[in-house]
Amino acid sequence: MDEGNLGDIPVPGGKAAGFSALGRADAQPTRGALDLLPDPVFVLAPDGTVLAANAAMARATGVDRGAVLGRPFAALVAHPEDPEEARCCDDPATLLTGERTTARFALSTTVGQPLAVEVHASRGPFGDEPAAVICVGRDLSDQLATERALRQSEELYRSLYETALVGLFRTDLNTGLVLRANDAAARLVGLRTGEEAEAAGVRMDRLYASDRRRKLLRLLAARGEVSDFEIRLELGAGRTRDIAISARAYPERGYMEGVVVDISDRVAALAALRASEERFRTIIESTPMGVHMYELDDAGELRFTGANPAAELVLGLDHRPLLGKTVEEAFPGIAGTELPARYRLAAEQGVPFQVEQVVYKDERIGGAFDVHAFQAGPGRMVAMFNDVTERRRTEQELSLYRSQLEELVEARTRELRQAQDELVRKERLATLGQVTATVSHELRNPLSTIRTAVFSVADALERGRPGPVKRALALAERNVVRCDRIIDELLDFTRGRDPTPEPLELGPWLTELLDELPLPPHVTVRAEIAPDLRCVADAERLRRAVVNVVNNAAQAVEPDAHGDDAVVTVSAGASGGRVELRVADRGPGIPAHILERVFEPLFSTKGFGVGLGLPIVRNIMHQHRGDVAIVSAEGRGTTVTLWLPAGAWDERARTPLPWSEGENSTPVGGAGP
Amino acid sequence: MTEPTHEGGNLRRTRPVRVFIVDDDRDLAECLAMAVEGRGYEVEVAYSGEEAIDRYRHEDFDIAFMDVRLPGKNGVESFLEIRKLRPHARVVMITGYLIEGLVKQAEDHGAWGVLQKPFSPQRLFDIIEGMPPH
Repeated sequence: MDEGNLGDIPVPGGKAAGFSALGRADAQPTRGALDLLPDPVFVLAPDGTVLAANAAMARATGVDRGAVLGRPFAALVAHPEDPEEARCCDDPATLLTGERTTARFALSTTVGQPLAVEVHASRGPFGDEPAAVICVGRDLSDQLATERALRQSEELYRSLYETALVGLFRTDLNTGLVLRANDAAARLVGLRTGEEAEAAGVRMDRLYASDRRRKLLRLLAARGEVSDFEIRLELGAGRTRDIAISARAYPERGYMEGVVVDISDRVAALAALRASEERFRTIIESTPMGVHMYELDDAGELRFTGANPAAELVLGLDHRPLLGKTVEEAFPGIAGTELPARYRLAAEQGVPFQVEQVVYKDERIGGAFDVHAFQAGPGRMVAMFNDVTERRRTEQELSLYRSQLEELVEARTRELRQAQDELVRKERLATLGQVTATVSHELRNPLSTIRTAVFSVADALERGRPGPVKRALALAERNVVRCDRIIDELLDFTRGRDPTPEPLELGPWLTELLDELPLPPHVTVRAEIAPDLRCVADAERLRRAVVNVVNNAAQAVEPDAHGDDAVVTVSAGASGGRVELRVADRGPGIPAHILERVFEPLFSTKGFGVGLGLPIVRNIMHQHRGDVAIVSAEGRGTTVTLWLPAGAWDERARTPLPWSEGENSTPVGGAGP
Repeated sequence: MTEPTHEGGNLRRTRPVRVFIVDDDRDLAECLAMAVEGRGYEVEVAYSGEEAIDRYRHEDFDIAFMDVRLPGKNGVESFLEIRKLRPHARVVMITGYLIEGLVKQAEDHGAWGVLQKPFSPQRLFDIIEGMPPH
């Protein structure tokens, strides 16, 4: 630095005294002080050349002080591209003309960036120059750097602001007019950019319910700010958007500003969740099963946290005092059951549990419960239960009833059997009544005949005309026999005694029977009897059966056109372990509708006859473990077959023995040879 | 029978009284006919209701004794038929037991009387002899 030049540099602003002093006796210390100034000081001649410069000026430009002096100032000014520095490009001529007293320049330097300075200029004499321009500069570097940083920061924030995903806004407190909005905020009201929103004059107060608007303003007035204030925007055409605003009010400036976010999805999700929760709650609240909720606390205790209304009903208990208690405190009776351990397992590990009957008893509650326990989130569980005491009681009653029912059924069966016996007895009486009526009627006919015959005999004898006497007596005799037979039939049918079976040689027995049987004179019996027919039978009863059947046949037949006797064929043989006895006639046969009734007691088609003949035959054959069958064809005759098991009599066992065809009468396996 | 006056009777007739016996019990029918004949009446016999109706179609009788229980048409049905052919026919119903409805029906329709079996033939003669002439 050139010390000699210092005295040439005047102090700016010190036009009168300062400059005169500089050029005089005390010029030396002044020059020294100027060189010590950190800011550049220089003097320009009216033509713009540099008359003087201090050390700072030289330092700032990096140019030798000697190289500066005498140069045009304009040559020292740079035209930088930096926007901040570009603002320091006033025309140096404006200082010279006095147009400006303050101007900014970028001074060219030889070391790096141009130096921005602010120059305050004053005009006054300097040395020989009476109208020099004395300039005091101030280094603007720091200020510009700060401004640059500020600008960059502003740009950054501007960019952030514009591109932020959250909406940022400022609205007029009174009108809701959107003053500022970023793109994100604009999009929330259906516009693309913040500028668009600002230009469109969007008024937020017209986009949502006025009561929400009033509430928002009230909150802002009271607290100065709101946080997550939810608003449903009506965007027209039924479109809505849920937003949340966090904003601060600036009443003195008349606006509020803050952040707005789209919470439509959240609201929808919440609504869905709420609906789901509501459904769940409804289920829990309306289920007839009692529901208890428990939560594991930090100490691992299972604490009762709630119950549904059904639980109150099922247990008849106010659950509120139990809230927060441990499961054992809340329900002391549970301690003795497996439930606490199961509940813990459900809450801790999600192991579900189900039991049909847990018997519970404490001071307040008692009964049998059906319990289902399952996890409802980590550390939480739900127990659902039903009071099955009634069901259990019913089941027990049912089981009791079942056994009673069996007894009841037995008793009823007994009664029924008795009633049936009674009915049978009554029926027998009724049958007896019918039999009595039928028999008495049947007896009255022959009795009438006998009476009339006797009258006729008496009459004839009285009149001495004995002509009809013989015939009358024959009729009387025959009708006495009829009476006898009717009574026999009745006795046979009603006789209850068991048959007394004994071995019977059927052939000789049947031959004798047929020989002795009184038959109408026009009837001939033709017998065809196989040899060695043996059976076991009550001979007297079997005789009755055979006589009835043969009599029927005899009554059915008439002498043929030539007056020849009618024939009844009786044949006997063995077949398939049976002894069979057939009685066939060539009478008129039996019509089908009658044939099906011939075994009904008291059914008779004859002019006389009780209607017990064939029923008696069947009874007798059944008693002999045999049966009777009738085959009849109208106009061709009737064949009645009686059969019974062939066989001999086992004396020791008192039962009939099987009879082998063609063998002799020796009992098989019996005491024979 | 041609006697104008009957022993023990009060009928005065120029022709014999004709009696008709209808009973399916041939013995009884024969016996009754014998007894009636023995008293000098003219007698005819039939063994069924249908046969009796047929006889009435061709001839007339002073009185008929008809069993109620007959094969086919019963005595009362037959009587009602006969009344259509011969409105003044005198028919006495003979019955082994009182079939009340049936006998009452017969009486309502003008049956001459009812005889309950076993009856004495004298009752029969009483009825015949008590008859007014047609």
